[in-house]
Amino acid sequence: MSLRILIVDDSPIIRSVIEKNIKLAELPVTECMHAGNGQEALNQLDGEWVDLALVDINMPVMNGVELIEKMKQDDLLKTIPVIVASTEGSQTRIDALKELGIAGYLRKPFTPEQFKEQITQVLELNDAA
Amino acid sequence: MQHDQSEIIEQVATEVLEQLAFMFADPATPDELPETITEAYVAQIGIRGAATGKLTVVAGHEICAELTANITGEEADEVSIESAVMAIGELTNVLCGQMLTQIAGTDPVFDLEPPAILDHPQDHWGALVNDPNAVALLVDDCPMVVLLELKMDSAQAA
Repeated sequence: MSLRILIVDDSPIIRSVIEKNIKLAELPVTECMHAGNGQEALNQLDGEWVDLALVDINMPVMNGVELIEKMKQDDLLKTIPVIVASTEGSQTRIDALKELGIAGYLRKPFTPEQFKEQITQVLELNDAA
Repeated sequence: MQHDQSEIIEQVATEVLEQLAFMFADPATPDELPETITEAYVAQIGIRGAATGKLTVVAGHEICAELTANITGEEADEVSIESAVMAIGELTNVLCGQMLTQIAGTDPVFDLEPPAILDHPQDHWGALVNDPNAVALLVDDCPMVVLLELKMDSAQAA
């Protein structure tokens, strides 16, 4: 199995942290694509397939909620599992994201163990992955 | 309330710095901080929704470089100003989200603006060090000041 993951966050440092966590978790990821906001993510997804999108909420240009709403309106993109990685702590908003159909939620800052557990669960990988 | 808020800020800053970058923060008194600071950065996040206000964080280049290095694996003395600025912006973002939950709970909804980096850090440093509501910290023995100004929306807080 080889996976392609799209990391959507306006902070290059956080994108770097997430990519480091992917390596630490020894997940079977062959490619990490990066986008700095929701619009850049949609541009990347136009003609490119990914197995998972890790999406921040507070971003300029197009935020994470708008991105997820647009993905869910598209027959192909709505099948891509989305994990939100955000500082958001409002249960009201997290519940709203779950209603939108996100596959998982990681609150920043997260540990490598929390990260691996969430990805493994969403992608239904076994722990040896 | 203000005393409680200061304790929350200290606690959240300590936990976030440790978890995000393996850095250790201790509360400090204003007289433990330098009167002026060179090579500093000021990050500020506007808060709207269930409360309005802003979170301001001021720290020297040394802290921001170490923060960047510990997050990304770069050498601290090779960290660029651009990376250091992004690091304090992201730190402020994470601190803001965590502090709001600790102070207001998980029911209220807040809208956070993207972090802004302010000019003239020395001016902010002087003002914040003398602000009675600011929280002073020594992070790996380097000074940092955090000020959360928050006015709860009475309709949503009720």
